[in-house]
This record gives sequence, structure tokens and C-alpha cells, in this order.
Amino acid sequence: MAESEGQTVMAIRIDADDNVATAIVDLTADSEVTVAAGAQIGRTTVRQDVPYGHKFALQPIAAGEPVLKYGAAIGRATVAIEPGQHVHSHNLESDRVRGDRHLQAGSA
Amino acid sequence: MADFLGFRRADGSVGIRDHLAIVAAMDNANPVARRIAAGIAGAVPITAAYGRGQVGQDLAQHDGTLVGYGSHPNVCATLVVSLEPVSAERVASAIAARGKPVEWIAIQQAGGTVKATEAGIRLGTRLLQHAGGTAREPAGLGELTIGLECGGSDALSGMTGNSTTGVVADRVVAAGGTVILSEIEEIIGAEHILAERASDETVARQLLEAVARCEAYADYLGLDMAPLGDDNVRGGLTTTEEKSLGAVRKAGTSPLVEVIGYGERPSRKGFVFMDAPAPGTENVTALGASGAQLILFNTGVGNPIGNPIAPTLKITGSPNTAIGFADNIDVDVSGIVKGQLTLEGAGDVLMAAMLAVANGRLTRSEALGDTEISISRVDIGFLNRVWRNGGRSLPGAA
Repeated sequence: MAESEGQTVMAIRIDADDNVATAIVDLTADSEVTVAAGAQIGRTTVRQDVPYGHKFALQPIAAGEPVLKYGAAIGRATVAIEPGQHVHSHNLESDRVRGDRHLQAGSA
Repeated sequence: MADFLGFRRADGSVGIRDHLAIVAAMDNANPVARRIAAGIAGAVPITAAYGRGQVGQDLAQHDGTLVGYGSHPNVCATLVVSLEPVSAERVASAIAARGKPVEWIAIQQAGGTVKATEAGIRLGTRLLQHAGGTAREPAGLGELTIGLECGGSDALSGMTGNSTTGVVADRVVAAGGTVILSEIEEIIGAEHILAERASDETVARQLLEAVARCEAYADYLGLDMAPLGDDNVRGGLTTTEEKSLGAVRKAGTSPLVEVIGYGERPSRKGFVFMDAPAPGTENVTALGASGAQLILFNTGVGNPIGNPIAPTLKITGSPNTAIGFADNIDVDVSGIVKGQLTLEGAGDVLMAAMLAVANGRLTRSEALGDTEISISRVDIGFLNRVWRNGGRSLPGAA
């Protein structure tokens, strides 16, 4: 991400390893947004509406790959995710306390 | 120099309130307990559901929680009210063993509601005049045990309110005090971070076993047990791991020195983890029972609940909630996302508010009366037995 100063921060990338950022204002599809990553300020374009508090991809994430926030895996992409796309329950799934999967595996 | 002024208790603890607790030993005594408390200035009723006909771990957890409140540092004396004498005396004796002035009444012995209420008001008033009203004395930050809670989390809770709480948690531990992180479901996905901070292998193993029990329970039920509410999901949180990674920020960065069970008192100072369920009222109930004098409760989308004995500060880092839920918010750190407040600066704001509450300033939940007690059921007792038997298949499972 390029450096630019004097910009209003619209999203935060919490850890340098993260492949998603979190919106701190409502973001509109196809708008350019400023993303703070520590002291660095960068710009990127969101491809979909991203509400306050929600996540969007900063780089391509293949289906099955971990989504990283806080520098750690918060689950896996269920489909391929393009940069700028909203990342939420429709394309990201948890790997933990999934007794539902256990049941499916057991009954298969 | 003193950090705050508190009430010195016979057991060596320091209280930040001087309540008379009216503890109902079982739910059928709740109305009488509430009536007695309403008849005495400064009395607080502790009225939980259940308690009658409970057995095993459920009974132990119910009684243990009530004893925790009856002997709490913020309580000067306790009156136990029950339906019959056996349970009343059992709970009262355990409270007395911890050095707290205590009396009990049984509604059957007293001759019904009206007579029990009259006897309770008389006994309670006497207790309050005997044990309450001592002067506040200088006390240090290191004498505090602080419960850490978050409820109604949103995607910014981790970066804002929880991180601010973490700054204060580190300062409390550095001063020799204790902070208790809890909410077992909300460390899943972040347990590796806490285990790495464990002071020894036993503590790390206990933490990981508590998480494994939670995963085994989800498998047993065959359910996705993600601790996410619809409000969390609307707030932008997607997965358990994401919520947990934000939630554990409340505990700051100090070593994990002990893992304790539901409502238990820590035996060590420093950062402690309590294995208790995450839902706000249940968890705050468990934290208060452990003797925490105060609870820091960060909320993202808004949760009003507080503890009747351990004053509960509501913190938010969400600009929308700071405005839209303002009646319930004690500390607004939403300046962090607006770039107006550093984390250390937010920590200063929270620390000042916390010490004001320790000195007697009422929290919003105290002033509004948004306080509740809800003791978790141990319905997984059966599972615990299976677990101890080495994961033997449950009856009915293939």
C-alpha cells in the first residue's frame, strides 16, 4: 500500500500478516478507501458495500485458504475471494466448535 | 500514596462497597429476600433461579456462587434466606467460615412470607448496624481483583475497548493485583496465545483441556457452538476465532498464572483464567462470585447488564454505541477509531474512571439498577464423566 498523509482513515489492517482490513466507517462499492496499517496509510478500492465494523479482502484469498486478522487465522474462505470484496458469513467459515461437522462426518 | 479508599475486611480483603447482602439460598425464597432488601437501606438482594432439588455439580456450583457473594469483599454482612433450615444453615455456615458476619432465616420456620420478612428486616438491620458503616481507608491498586468481560461485541471491540481494558489489566497486574479473564467459548481460536503466556506447563495444560472440553461438548451435541449472537454478526464479526482474538486482548500481556473453575477465588495474584460460560449475565455472576471487587465490561453494540455486588463499568469503543447507548456507558474510548485517542491515553481514561468507582462513584448499571444474577447450570456433568473415562462413546452413539 502506498503512503499518503493527511487522509481520513476509513479502514484498519490490524497486523502486517492480515489479508483483510476492517471498515471503521460505512464503505460504498467501487469507492477508494484509505487503510491504516500501523503508522502506514495506504489506499485501495472496495468492490462491494462494506458496513462499519465489517471486513474486506486486501489480496486474493483462494477457497480453503485461511483468512487472517490479528495476524492469526479466523477461519477459511469457502469460495475464492477477490481484493475489495466483503468478507463475512457468505464466504468465510469457522473451523472451531463445529460439532455440526462432527455429526456429518459421523453419519456419513 | 493510596490509589483509592476502601473498606478493610476481617479476611484481609478490601471492599469498594459496604453492602448488606440478602442471599436467597433457593429460588422459592427470592420474593422474601427481595422484600427484606427493599426494607433495609443499603441492602442488596442476591436472587438466582434454581437451587431447589439440585444435586452434584449443579448444587455445588449454586451454593459456591452464593457463598462467594455472601463473603464478598464489597459486603459488610450477609443474611441468608431459604425455604427451610438445612439449606439456609449450610450456606450461612460456609459464609461464616470465611469470616463474614452472617445470620439466616427459614421461611417455613418463621411461619410464612409476612413473618419471615419481618424477622429478616429486623435481623438484617441489626447486622448492618453491627458490621456496616466503617470508614474508608487508604488502599492500593494491587489489592484489587478485577473481572474482565465483553458482551455485545462488534468487530471493533478487540481493537478499542478490549485493548484499552488490556492496558489497565497490565497496570493492575504490575501493581500486584489480579485480573480474571473468562468466557471459555471466547478464547477458542486464541488459546495458543494464552497458553504461550502460561507460567508453567500445568497451567497451559489446564487451559487447553478446558478448551478441549468445550470442543468435545460441541461434538457431543452435534452443533455449531459458535458464541456469536445475531448482533455480533451484524456488527461484522464472522467466526469464533475472530471474536476470541479480539476478546483475549482484555487480558493484556502479563503471564497466565492460574486456571480456576466457575466462581472460584483465585489463589494466586496476576492474570488468571476462569473456565465459565460467556453469556454476559452468567459470566459476570461467576466473576463476582470469585471476589472480584469490580468488573470492566466492554460492549460493542450495547449490553446494559451489571453485577449487583461488583460494580460493573461499561466501556465502548464504538462511536455509534457511545452515542446511541449513552445512558448505559461509563467510559467512551471511541476516540481510538477517530484517531483522537491513543491506547495508552484510553487506558488513562479508563483507569481514572475505575478508581473513581472504587472510591464510591456509582456505575451506570448500579444507578439504573441494571444488575442481575444468573448461575450457570452444569448440564454437561454427564459429558464430564465421559470425558474422564477417556472419551468413551455415549450411549446411543454409533
